[in-house]
Amino acid sequence: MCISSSFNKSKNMEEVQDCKSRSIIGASGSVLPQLLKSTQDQSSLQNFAWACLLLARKNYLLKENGLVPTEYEIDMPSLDHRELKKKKPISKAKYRSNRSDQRSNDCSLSSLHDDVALECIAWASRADYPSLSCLNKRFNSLIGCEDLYKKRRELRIIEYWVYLACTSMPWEAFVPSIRRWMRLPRMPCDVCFSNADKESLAVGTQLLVFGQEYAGSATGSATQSAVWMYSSVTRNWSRGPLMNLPRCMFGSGSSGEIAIVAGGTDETGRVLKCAELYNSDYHTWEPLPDMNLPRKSCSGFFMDGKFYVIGGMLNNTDSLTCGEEYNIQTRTWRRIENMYPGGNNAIQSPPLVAVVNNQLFAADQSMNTVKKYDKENNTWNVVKLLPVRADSSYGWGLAFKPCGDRLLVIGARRVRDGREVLVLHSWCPDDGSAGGAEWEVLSVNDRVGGFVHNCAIMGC
Amino acid sequence: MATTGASDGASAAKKEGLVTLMSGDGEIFEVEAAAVAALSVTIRHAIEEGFGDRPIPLPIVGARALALAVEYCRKHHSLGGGAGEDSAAYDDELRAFDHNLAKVDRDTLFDLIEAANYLEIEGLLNLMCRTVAEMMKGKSVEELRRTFDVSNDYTPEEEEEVRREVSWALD
Repeated sequence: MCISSSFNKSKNMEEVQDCKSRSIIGASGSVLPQLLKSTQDQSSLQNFAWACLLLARKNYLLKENGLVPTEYEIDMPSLDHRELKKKKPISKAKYRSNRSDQRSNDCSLSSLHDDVALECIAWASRADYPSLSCLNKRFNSLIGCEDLYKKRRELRIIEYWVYLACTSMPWEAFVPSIRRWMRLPRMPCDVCFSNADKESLAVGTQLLVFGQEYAGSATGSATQSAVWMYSSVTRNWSRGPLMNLPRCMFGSGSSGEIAIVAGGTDETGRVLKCAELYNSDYHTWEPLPDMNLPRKSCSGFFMDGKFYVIGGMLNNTDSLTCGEEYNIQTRTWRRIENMYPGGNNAIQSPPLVAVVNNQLFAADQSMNTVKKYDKENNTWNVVKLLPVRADSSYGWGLAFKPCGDRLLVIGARRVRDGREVLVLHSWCPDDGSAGGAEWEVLSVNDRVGGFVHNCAIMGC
Repeated sequence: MATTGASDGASAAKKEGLVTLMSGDGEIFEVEAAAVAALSVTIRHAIEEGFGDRPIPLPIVGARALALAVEYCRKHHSLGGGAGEDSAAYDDELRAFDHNLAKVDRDTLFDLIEAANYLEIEGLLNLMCRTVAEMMKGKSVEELRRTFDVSNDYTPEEEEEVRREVSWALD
């Protein structure tokens, strides 16, 4: 291969050109001529050419700098484009930055390439992102790009935040690591959506809220299904995509960037056995094969890479004690008899279930206990008392959620003057053996009211 | 025509298992090829592609950062076999070494990030980026600007707008 004639046409150079909007001008202006001075024989030139290619690959060079020599013919027998293509820099991102400052000789956060700066930000807590976005235009654009969250996923950095809506407040986020509450921007929905019952689901970087809004005068019915989506990336609300078959009272669970909803009732009240898969990267709903049985007021979760639905009602009177397991690879449902013995009756909330480290836990709505599922024997064992009462409200108004390697219970506690405060309890089940550590109070909030309408945990 | 410098490089390469690296500011480092190649993807590819018998030029890596990066490779190769933090080989000694390395001054810290990215030493890049992230923790906008010498290119109106947008999250 002849480096001088083919260099500009090479795939690598095209990549560099693609990225020139990122305005990365390396310190190459002084580096290359200096390098060239010290390379006076043929083999040193080969190493020089290698250094050039590497600089180009890492976006330190731009074609229009004119730094690539054309007067040297260098024989590079071992250099193959396919080989070079295989080697990706550790950090590589695609987005536009408003960065306009030139690289100085001193390294600093501002002088780092966007992709490396992004890596630093990826390691930081999401709670620091609002401040970082105020630094300057470049940081604002880095904080607001999807690639930041892709980078976090790649580095397996997951920070769990609690999003909840209670009686006296629309939506707030609670950050367990710093035990701080943040009030989310107001959802720009209509009064029908804000007042009616809603269901929520966190998937990827999105919080989806499902409900009903006023229909336009053209349609026959008074209300229609609507989805509002809060994005951790844009830190704002927008309309989310509707399911193929909009529904309520469904079971749902999420794993990484995907979520599955199953069962529920449609707008006519019919109990459904269909399921759909949501991909938050593409904002798309895809129909899945039907479950064996229709069910509503059920609960869903992911465990050991499979999706499960348990409990709920077959119709208005018959509760279901069986569960169903969905295998994503084979696209099949398997019915598991007696997975939720007793079931939940018509006035009770859907099962309160949470999976921590692939172990399933449930809150018993009448006994006020935490039970752990024994996968091998298909049985449940009581491991702990709930820190708040669930029976008085039949399980409603209480959140029982997984949050990393901990279990969260969020519910009301009555204080001296008769008011109710919201208490966030957390427990680390360890290996899941009985007892273990005690409930830890993460936060007491006296302004949001004591009844949790919606709660979703987002890990990103 | 072979120059004196180049033949020095050639003779250096003849020493068993050594590779010569040249920093951007022209300093020469003779290092154990196995240790550096195990940790640095860039050097590994350079050697694999036959560029290991001459000084390998590393244009944007300064001597100070290169010395530290090489030290990192040596330590991690000899103690941990280049394994990551999740591995059992990542023991107390290695942890202590990383902990000390992360205490470098701010300028060296960013030099090392550039070097680790260029040399593709994933563990070192992660370590240093995490150190920067740690320095960001809980800081106000003003503290962040001071700590990292970040110049503000917002107009007062733009800054007010951005701050208003995130005010719900800032207390």
